[in-house]
Amino acid sequence: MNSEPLFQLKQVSKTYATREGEEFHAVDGIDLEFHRGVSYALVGESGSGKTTLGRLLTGLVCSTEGEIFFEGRRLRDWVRKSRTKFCEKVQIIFQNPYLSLDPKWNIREILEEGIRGMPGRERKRKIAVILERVRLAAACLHKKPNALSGGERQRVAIARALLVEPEFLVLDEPTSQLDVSTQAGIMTLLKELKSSLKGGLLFITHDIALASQLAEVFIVMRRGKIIEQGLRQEILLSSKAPYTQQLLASIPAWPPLI
Amino acid sequence: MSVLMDVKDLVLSYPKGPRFGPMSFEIREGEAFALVGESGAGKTTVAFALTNVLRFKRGKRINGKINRHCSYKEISYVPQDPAAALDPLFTIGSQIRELGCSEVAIRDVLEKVRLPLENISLQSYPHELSGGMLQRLLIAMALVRKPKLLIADEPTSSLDVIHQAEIMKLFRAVHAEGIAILFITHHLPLAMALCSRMAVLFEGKIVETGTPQMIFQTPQHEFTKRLLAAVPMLEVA
Amino acid sequence: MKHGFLFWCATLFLGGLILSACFADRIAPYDPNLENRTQALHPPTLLHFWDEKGRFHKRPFIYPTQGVFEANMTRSYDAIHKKKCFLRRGTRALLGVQSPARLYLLGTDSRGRDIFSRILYGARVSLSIGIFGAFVAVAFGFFVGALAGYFGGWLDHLLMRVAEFFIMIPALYLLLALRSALPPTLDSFQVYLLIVLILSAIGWGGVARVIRGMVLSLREREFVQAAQVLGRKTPEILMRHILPHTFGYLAVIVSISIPSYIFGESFLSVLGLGIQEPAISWGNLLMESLSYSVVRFHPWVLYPGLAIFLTALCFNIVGDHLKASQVSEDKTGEIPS
Repeated sequence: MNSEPLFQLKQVSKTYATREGEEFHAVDGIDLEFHRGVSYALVGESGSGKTTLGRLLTGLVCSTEGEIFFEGRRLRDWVRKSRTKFCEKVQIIFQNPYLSLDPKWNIREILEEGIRGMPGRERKRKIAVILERVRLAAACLHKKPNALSGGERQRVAIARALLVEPEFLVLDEPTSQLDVSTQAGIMTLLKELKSSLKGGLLFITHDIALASQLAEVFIVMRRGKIIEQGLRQEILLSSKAPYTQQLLASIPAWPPLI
Repeated sequence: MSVLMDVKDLVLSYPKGPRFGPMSFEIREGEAFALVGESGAGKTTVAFALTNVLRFKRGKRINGKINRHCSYKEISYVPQDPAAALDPLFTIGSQIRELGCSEVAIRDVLEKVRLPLENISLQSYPHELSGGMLQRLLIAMALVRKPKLLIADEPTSSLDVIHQAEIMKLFRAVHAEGIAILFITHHLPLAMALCSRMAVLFEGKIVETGTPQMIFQTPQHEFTKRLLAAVPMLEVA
Repeated sequence: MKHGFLFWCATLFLGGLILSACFADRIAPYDPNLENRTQALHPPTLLHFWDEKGRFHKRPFIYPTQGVFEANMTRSYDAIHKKKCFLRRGTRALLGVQSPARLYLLGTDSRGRDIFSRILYGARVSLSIGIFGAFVAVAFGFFVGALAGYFGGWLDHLLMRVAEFFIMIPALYLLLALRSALPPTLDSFQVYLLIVLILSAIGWGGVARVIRGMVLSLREREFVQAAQVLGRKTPEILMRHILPHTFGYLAVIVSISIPSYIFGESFLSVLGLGIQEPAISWGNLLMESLSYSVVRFHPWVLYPGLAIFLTALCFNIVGDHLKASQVSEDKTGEIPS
């Protein structure tokens, strides 16, 4: 692993106030480092704070305590002072492709969202290239999102994020709303795209089998805290943490034991 | 083994809407039968037809035959989203009592789903329980009527892996008691682990029926092959 | 969503009303201020196709009438059956009738002015106050609501407390208070503008609240967050991704709130605080019907009220349909189950 980490989290907490006036620690004092060129998987059940952690990394939410450093500079400063530049480096794919595309715009306009500063011809060329890569037909450019299937929508979302040529990509359960066979297609696509991300990626999921296909380093999270972190084979084969063992034991057998 | 429910050439349709069928399958007494398919394949509509709920949907059309060898009272249903299936305004106790059964029976059945009365209060409201607990509660409510057939419509799709494993364990226990289960899911590993026979539903038609072994080893239809290939494999090395 | 029969009826009625208000001077049979005191409180004239011998005429005709004083000091009109007066193109309008008969489709008021003509002319003022007022209120409420919803914090607090202040005061008293705070001697155009302002001052608060709520929920939608991550600036996101989603509801709000502005104007005018004679509005037409004895024996003076009622009903039908189609449009963005 390289010396200087891409992301460095120091005692990061994110606290929400619940309706009863109590505090809810979605992320609770996390120390983490993300190194360049490594694929990470963030595994945990719902309510473990994995989505919040993903949003913290993209600057969508700010930590209530602690500090996140990106390339050695505070993320707050990135967001405040050079937001455009930061956006070109870190992108996110949301969980629900039915919500993450603006229903009023057609696909071309959605794709152009991140690259509107470019000259028109350049944009056209880039969009044509990216459509090829995510295997979408050019005919869909004039359609609205609701004319597309869930899998196609997620491909559009991936294309939109990749158009700004980010270094680091956060994938927030990108297949949990899709059918199994569609999910397989998206996973194949993500595996292909992995190499183009210089900075690496963070795959957030509750499905360990999916995570194992994409990520080299596993981070297990529960109730806002990191339970365990390690290389894939370490976690999957020789995990010591009881929670991780419980998670692993819950995976349905495949191929089936017949 | 006698047949509990025999579905022959069933066609379900909505005007200007989707049309499912014709499909034929049978559920035998005490067996676990899986209906596997993706969204839009008509899984839930079939479940509604078998529980006779479809009768109350407007504009539906049912053709074909469903031969029941048990009464509707002996069929129970476990829904997909446990939080949406309970009325948020009433306590879980009052919703269980609505089933019209004795306190002893309730105690028994809650014990059976490992949700003993000591751990939960019947005075609590649905939103105070976690998803896994709610699903167990709903299974308990389904079991309290001593059904012959339990229809479960994607009972684990809104749950986490750990809860999913617990619920599946529960279904295995239910099956061991001799209650037939119609397990509707999109998740092949779960279906194959629980059931002794399964049918694959694709675009409203049953494209394949057989034992999990047959389907896993020699899938006939393109869709089944695709579905089998799509299940993510755990890559350790 | 397909619109139903009722929606098209309502649209047709409103369209027809707006058109005939615009071209009132070509459609109305008489000058709205033309007084014909000999025929005051004349009942609506009936159009006949068959004469008393049972013969059919293609062109409708009416019988001229003659006023008769009754013993109790009221007046009634007898038809003179000898003479038939046919409908024809009027001297100044599309509708007219051969003299000596006069065409009072909806009767006359106590000064012998044709109520039908007056309703058409009054529609100019009442409808335009309604539409104009609703637009001003919605535009202002939209602006305030969008600001409060998107920026949040103290600005949201401040703007919403002001809006709530206006919502909290009973509209009726606010209307009267605002009107009485302003000079009573104004010309009719000034009064017109004043009423628009007063009515929209009452109405903007509710709009601001609704828009604020929509913006608040839209702001959390994933496609807005996606735009944020893609580096788009706040005003751009507001203009491109948030406000377009509220336009459909704005149309709903406008069409549903127009009736209340028409009511507001009528209310002020009936009390003599709004549009005053010789200017005509549906409100001051209704002043005629304030007297019980007039309404008791001459119910047709209530026709302006019927016009208000039908217009409000139609705007509400249109609004409801727009709302329903808006809801079904919104649903297409959700996950199919």
